[in-house]
Amino acid sequence: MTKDAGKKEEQQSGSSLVQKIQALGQTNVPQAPDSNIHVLSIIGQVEGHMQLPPQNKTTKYEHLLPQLIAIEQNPKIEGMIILLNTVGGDVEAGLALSEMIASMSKPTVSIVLGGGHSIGVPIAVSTDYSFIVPTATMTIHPIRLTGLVIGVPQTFEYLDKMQERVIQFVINHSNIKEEKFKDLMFAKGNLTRDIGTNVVGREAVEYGLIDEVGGVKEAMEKLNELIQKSKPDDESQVIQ
Amino acid sequence: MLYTPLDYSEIFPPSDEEFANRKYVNHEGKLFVIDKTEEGTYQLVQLISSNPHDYLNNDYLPGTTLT
Repeated sequence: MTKDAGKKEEQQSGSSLVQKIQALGQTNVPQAPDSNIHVLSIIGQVEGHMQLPPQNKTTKYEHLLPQLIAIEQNPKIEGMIILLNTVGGDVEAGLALSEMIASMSKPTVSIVLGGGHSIGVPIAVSTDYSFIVPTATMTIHPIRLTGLVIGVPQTFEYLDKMQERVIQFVINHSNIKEEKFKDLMFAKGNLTRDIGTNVVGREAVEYGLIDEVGGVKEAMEKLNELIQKSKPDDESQVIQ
Repeated sequence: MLYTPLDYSEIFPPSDEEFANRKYVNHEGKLFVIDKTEEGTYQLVQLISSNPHDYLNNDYLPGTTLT
């Protein structure tokens, strides 16, 4: 009996091992204590009003907005890291995310990995401090629209205003000058048959768009520093 | 071969069937993306959570079959 039971258990653990290998390509993942830092990943396309087919990797703002509120409310969470690897997407969904992140009271840090293109730019600069890895790129380009347009002059006005909102957000939340950002946005000859600029790692920092070149280590150090700064000075009050 | 700058999905609009098998469920305060498999079981596709430790939980591994 006991032998049988032991065999069964062994088989079960064997099958779950196979399942894990099928699922992740690895057998176990390390466990760690509770974290005071939460992570939001902006991956794939930023999805707006239209739902993209399931094979697309998307970031849905309706999933992230409640999470941001939860992070703001939870006293155990002291800081937040935003990981970006996005091709861009819906402008208004991206702006909504950016405004939410920018208006949070808890310290926030972003890391641009791979790419933070298009509407990924305002999301990247919306945090208190932004990092870019040396190999990551950011494409800055004017707003575009695909699909049927009814009422061309009105749509043009609308898009022009929308673009202005993006520009204003970026210059208000980063160190880049409005003229420089517009220069990059409307530059010719950088992108093949298109206007705009693709800035890589260090360049983004040189233009003042991103605060620093760095990865996980630098971002964690900065976030911990910001958390320490944001904490009220309990000890000094005790001394007094 | 299609010689067009249009997106694939604009020429072949996604059918409703593609969306039918995918569901979003809230479980223990975390959001899970699950797909219905041909056998009628549900498979975990993605976990959406801001807590990095949820991703280390063996029960939430993508590909896990839910019962």
